[in-house]
Amino acid sequence: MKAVLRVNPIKCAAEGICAELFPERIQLDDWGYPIIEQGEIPEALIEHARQAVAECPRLALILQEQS
Amino acid sequence: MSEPSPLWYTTRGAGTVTLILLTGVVVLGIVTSTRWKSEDWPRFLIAALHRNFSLFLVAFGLLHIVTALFDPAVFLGLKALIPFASDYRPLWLSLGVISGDLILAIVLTSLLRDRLGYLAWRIIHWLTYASWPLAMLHSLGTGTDPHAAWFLFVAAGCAAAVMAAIFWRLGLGLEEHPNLRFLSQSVCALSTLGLVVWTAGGPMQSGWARMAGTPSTVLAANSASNDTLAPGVDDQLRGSLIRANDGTVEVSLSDTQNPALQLTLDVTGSGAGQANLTATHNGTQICQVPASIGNAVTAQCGQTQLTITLRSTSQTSNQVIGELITEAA
Amino acid sequence: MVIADIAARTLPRLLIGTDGPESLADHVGRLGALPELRVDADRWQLISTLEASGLRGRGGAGFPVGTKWRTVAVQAQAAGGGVVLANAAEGEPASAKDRTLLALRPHLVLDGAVLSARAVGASEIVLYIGREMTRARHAIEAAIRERRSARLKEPRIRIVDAPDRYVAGEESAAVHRINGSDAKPTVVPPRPFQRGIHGAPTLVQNVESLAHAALIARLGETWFRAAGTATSPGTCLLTVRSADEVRVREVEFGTTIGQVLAGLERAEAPQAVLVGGYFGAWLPWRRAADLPLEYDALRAAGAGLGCGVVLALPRDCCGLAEGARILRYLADETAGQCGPCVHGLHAMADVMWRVAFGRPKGNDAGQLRRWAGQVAGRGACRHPDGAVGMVKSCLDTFADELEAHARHGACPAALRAAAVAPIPDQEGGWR
Repeated sequence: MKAVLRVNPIKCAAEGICAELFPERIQLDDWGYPIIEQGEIPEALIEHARQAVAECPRLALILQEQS
Repeated sequence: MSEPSPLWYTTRGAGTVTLILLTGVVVLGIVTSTRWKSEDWPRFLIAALHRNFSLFLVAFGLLHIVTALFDPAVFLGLKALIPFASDYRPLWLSLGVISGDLILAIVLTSLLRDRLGYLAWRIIHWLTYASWPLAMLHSLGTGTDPHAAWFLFVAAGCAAAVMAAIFWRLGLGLEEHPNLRFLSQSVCALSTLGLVVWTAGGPMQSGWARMAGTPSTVLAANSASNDTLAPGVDDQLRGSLIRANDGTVEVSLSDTQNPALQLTLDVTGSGAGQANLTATHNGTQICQVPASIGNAVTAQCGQTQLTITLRSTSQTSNQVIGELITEAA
Repeated sequence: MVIADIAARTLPRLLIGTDGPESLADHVGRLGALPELRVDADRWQLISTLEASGLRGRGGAGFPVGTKWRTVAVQAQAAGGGVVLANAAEGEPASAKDRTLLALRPHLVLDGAVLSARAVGASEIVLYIGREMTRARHAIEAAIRERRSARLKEPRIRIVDAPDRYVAGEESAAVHRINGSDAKPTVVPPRPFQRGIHGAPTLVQNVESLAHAALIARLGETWFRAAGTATSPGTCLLTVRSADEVRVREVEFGTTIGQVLAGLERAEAPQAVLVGGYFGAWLPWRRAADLPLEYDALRAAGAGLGCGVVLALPRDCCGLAEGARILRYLADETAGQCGPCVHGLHAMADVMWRVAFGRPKGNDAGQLRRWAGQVAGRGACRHPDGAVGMVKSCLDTFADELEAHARHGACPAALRAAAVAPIPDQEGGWR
């Protein structure tokens, strides 16, 4: 199961909740916008990714899961 | 005198808890919109609390509505869910109905946000700013506890919390527009003051229940179960004595500490030491019983023994003052 | 010059010598009728010819044209229809090639548009043209009228205005505008070739690319490859500029930048060249003079053809000042949709302004590079990428000037000289 996390830069409004919930892969830039580490998300961290996606107030995060 | 049913207590309690939870939801929502955070309070925590509070709110709100609608003392029925259609205090009840409808809309759109999209969700969410004052006015106008200190404490706390949060939010959001900020914060402060003034002059006054549209049957029942003439009363009375041409004397008294309570003594003069005592609460008669006049006036109203002592304030005027003591018969 | 001449001679292929637009009669007289592509086999044959020609897009991305047409043709077949978007927005202030081409050879462009519609199976053609291009607009409108009068059996060609904004010509922005909204980029996927105008697969092609395709369709890929180099065949239109001059020239690929600039009035060699556009790269003269205009050579030098802008910076100007002005313009021209782009470009523009016209602080260059790393790739479109590329190449090319500014403050050239790179006033909305 491959999973890649992406942010929709137009919807994103720098709420910052994603970085709180998934600091392993998401850092905030100087202006509060998420920098998502590229690459697949390992199985162990998938739940954090899903939580970050669910909690984004702007629905700006997308987790693309391909089996 | 009928005992208030458990449903009545439940609805009052649930309603109060709903008001507290709604206050919490609104304050947390305002905090969320300021994007405030701290070490101990990350944003996801505040957001999750806001959401959990709103779910509890729905639960207690439903409890409050169901118990209120089916309370046998004031059987509102489902009809009351239509604004202005209830028999009981239609305006004030309807404010609650509308508030509930708004909250329902907000919760539903939040659950369906994925399908609705952010903008539609955001617009409807703004309605929370309307649902809270409606709930507050509803609880003050409809509630049967506006005199009770505990309720006033809760209501004051809720109002203070929301108004403080709005005040803070305006301060943050309008930092760069000092004039607009001053104006809006003044409106906030003045409306808080207005709420206090209105509460003191409206719901807290005697006669409010009738003015707000409580049906008279309910008023009578409530008065009967009201503990105005319960044992343990020790109030100062004030009133006037009127001597009519036919020799009858009428003494009209009101309880200074409970102005809703009026006592009228009709001394007919035919039987020495005998009089008729009529007690009314908010204009509705509680009891009309014979009273004996000796050193004091005594009468029994229901299970309560009343003792009234009177004296004139002066030789010339017809003003009288006195004391009312009640004890268990 | 008739088709035989064109086949024989290398240049000019697109541009003609006269001032005014070429009439339909002259165009057909010169080139003959447009190939009809009557059967399916003809469509796919044309697409194969384009692929073999090695023609690459001239809008800025340089994507192989044949491959693009094939992709859209397949999508359109599956979807039951498609649309062609002929892109003449030309939001790049330094570029004038597209409007010049439209003004001189409107029928060649329209030929290309009609051909592409037939090839990919599109029933509709939209010409997306800059709102303020009056000359080009008149020429193309007259050409469309001529073709209608001649009762050519062609799909209807609709004109839609592009607002005067830098990103209006970006493919998703163009589609968004034509679908009735602002000319602002949208998040992809889906890309226009999958779902574009009215949800149909859309071929977005620069008008110069269409013009080349119109000639290849008649003259074949061997003819096209007779000019240019093996890896970069054919010719391209360039907007060549210096302090007071603007010229649109057609050159063969492989021509060096030095040769391109020869013939500009200034005798003195420039100190540096901006290649590609405001999203392109600065190159010092010693690097640029003998650099051939070829995709691979340019990439190796850290540049690209872009939209064909070659801007020569005279010796008495300051490269940092030009870069700062351009960056400020690019920051003001964001669509305002993506945080990293809006905040990043404005922050960089402020620091770059200080570097050019004030007194740079010790870590200004480092800060600019750090932000450049943070901003690139994090927008919905490539606007921030282009801007940071331009800034990084500016800091590299003018490193000595940067040090001088740090020591002594802004140089006299920065403070005195008028801008070489044109910076338009920003007005107007997004439609």
